[in-house]
Amino acid sequence: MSVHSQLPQLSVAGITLRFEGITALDDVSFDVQRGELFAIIGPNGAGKTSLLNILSRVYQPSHGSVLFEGRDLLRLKTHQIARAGIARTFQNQGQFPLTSVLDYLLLGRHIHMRSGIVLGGIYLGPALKEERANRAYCQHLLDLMGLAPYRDFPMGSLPYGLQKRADLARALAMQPRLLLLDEPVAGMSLEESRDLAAVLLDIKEQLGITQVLVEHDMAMVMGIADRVLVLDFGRVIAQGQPAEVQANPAVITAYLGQEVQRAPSPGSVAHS
Amino acid sequence: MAYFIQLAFAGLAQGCIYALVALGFTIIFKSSGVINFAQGEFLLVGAFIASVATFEWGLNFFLAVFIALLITVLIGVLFERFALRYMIGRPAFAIIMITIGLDILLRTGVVMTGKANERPPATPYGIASGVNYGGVHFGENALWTILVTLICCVALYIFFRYTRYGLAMRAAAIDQEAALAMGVNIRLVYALAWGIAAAVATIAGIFLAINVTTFDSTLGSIALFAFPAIILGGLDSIPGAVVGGVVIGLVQLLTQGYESHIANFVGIGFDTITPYLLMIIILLVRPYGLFGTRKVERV
Amino acid sequence: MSNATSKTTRSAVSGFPSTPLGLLQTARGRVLLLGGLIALCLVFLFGGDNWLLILNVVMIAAMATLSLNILSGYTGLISLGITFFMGIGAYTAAWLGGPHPFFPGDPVGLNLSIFIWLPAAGVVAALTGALVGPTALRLKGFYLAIVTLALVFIGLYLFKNARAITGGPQGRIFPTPSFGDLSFSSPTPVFGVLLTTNQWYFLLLTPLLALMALFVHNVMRSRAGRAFQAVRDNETGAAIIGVNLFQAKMSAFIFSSFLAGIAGALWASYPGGYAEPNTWNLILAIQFVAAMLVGGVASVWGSILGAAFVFGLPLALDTFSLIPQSTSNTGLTSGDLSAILYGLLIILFMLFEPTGVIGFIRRVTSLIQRFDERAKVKGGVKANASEPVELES
Repeated sequence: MSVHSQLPQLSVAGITLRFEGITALDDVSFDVQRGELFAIIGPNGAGKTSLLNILSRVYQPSHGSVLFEGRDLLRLKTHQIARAGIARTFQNQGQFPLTSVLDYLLLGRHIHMRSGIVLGGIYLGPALKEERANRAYCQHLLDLMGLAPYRDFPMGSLPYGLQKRADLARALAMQPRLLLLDEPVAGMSLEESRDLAAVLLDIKEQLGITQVLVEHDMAMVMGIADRVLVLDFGRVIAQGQPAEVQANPAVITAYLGQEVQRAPSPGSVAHS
Repeated sequence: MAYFIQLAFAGLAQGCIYALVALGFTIIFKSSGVINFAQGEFLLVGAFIASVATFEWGLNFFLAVFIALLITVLIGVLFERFALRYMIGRPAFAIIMITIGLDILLRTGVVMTGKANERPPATPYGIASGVNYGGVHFGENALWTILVTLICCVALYIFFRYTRYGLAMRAAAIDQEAALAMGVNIRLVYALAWGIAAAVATIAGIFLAINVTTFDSTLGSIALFAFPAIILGGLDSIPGAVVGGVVIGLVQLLTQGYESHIANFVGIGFDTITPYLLMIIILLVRPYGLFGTRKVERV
Repeated sequence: MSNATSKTTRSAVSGFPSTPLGLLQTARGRVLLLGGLIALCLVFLFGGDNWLLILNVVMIAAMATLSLNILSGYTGLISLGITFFMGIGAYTAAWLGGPHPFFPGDPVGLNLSIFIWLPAAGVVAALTGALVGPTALRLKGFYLAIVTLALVFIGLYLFKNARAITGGPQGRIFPTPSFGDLSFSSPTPVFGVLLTTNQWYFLLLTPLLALMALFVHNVMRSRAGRAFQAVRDNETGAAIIGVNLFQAKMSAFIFSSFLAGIAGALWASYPGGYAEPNTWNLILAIQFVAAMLVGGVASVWGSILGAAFVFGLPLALDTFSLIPQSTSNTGLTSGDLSAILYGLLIILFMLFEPTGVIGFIRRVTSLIQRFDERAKVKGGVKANASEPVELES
């Protein structure tokens, strides 16, 4: 796929984040093309989640710029990124433990629905129509993601892996053009990770949604990413296609005999 | 001018009472993050028991005070141990309400004894005694209030600075987990916090009761003014609590004193809300107060 | 949820149809609805003035508790200041609907119809909420609680000083509903039937409360309500998903204040039609908070239940002289006993069941429900075959 001929959908330039004497991110720059599956990896504390927090407008960087579809993303407040077309999944679950899976997905439909207190209170009429349509949509998503039996279960009652899947479904319900995934397979078993990796590929190939993926699991990342960015101590130490990054000595050094050395080549048996 | 000094003096004394209550709030807050809405009733219970001990049991003033202290400290420590301990990690509303529940129980408990109407306060000196100087009456109670508050402040300062347990409390206030890891007995810290808070509230209650000449079950409602005091001073600052209390006392008395001059403008009872107005302004302008640390629940 | 008749949306927790018309679909729902209506009719006809009075007070208290639940229960914004908004509503109603001043110095009154003063009470309270909101809603947790507490005292000060409207510390008369020739306070026969004041109020309050309850229930299961609850559960998460936090909080605040204003107007009008500024004090506000917490946070039924507990029970004890002889000798009032009662209730519920009676019921039924469901899912039900969620109105 020739990605270089288009203008990047996401353009991150010189992002620096400092707080309480720590430089979490130092002059980070990269581009993401539309429809790409872009991975950000790095050892613990490398600043990956901080970067994601900046992109989802929870943090404000000390320096730098971010352009999303040509517009200045840093101008936006947290709640505005959803309407701008960006959806983000959460690293840890447990944000909405009492909300049912269906209601959680419907929350994802918030920006696509209109009724307020008055219409909602009357319910019959526009609100009901809206609810019906959106519930059908969410049901469809639930079916696709294999979550239908858990539709009315509170999120907190689900096993961790299913929670993350439901979270992804919620993000998809937002109909984003850019999906930010925060360690989507953290805490999952090998089989669950493989399933999810397949889902992410489906999202890319069938829905064409751009994905920026922060992850630890090298094997999974190398298997599905188009390009990879490696962070260490807040700095970019490598960027490019998975194979080149994997072979990069600086990357190997950064991980220092941890996951890089244990990352299986395609076709070999699982890592421990 | 004498009028102003009279007001300022009264404000200072009143402020000391607020300071003592605010101290209790802050000490509990620092150790466990809880705001104890029942603090006012410790005032009431303390003054009540001292009064009953003096007039009904015929005890000596200091003995009566000692018993009052004992009982309120016991109540505080027991409540912390058997109720509050289980509320750790619960939402703020629930914790606020459980202390309000204690507040209701304590106040109604006092009312139910049937002896809480127009009680005379326990006092070692005449209510109206004092010295006059330069046209200003320096009431003995007010003088003692200020002095005892000062002593309490100094005592607490020494306690926190130089004793093992004070150090333990300070460590726990900074980082509970780390303190726990260092072997600090957190249970003791909680108990101490509530005990100290109850004790200073009792002392405040005794002075307050003398100040109002006769008291009833509403004595504790004055503690509500300590909220503006701790916000002014900074929720997690002990010196802030004292300064905040004194400032609120001064503001209130001065407003009270000059209210009549601007009565057409502000009507009656303006002094009941000046502390709150001040508090709202502080929350908008400098939410962590004069001495608090810069981290406040503000969107 | 694999239930045979699952064309209806069912509550995830109790399996019971959660929509009003859904209730009509099941036999169980129909029976309950019918039973409820019959009970109401029986009470209305044969309950007697004492019981009707208690029920009426409980219903007005339930409205106030419901308004508080919207703000604190569903949206998570701690408020000790409900009586401020109730007072604003009450005095608006008094101004618009109260009797024309007779003597000089009487408080104002325009003697307008209930169709004006009752909604206006809500509207003015809502506007006040809109004014106060931007300042108050910047704060969270304890700070918000303290500011709402300050509001109560500021309210008391304003009410005591605005003599022209409030009658000053002595208080004033509040409007009672009247429709044409019929005035609730001294009812005349209508179509040959003579009802008591309490019966007329019952006729007014029951549908009004039902309407409010239904409205709130609807809001909470639609977009706005989901946003409120998301704000309560996790603000940052909600914002990331696209909820405008400030807008959501303001909406909840205004909605809550609207209902509080209406409840306030009714609270002042009934049963005595007379109230003084000190009515809108902190103690009353805390009673409503207690009602919400004991009955059930974020629950419509919980609001009603809690109001029954905190306001109905003491009133019933008093009315029917159920206080044991021994305590009444010490000059104890039922007010003291009920204070002890709900002080204890608060502590016990906060310790053991912070979501109130309703929360307790939910937990028990959900436990049973999930045990059931787990058995079914474990049996290998594949994830694709559930029927679509058909929404009933």
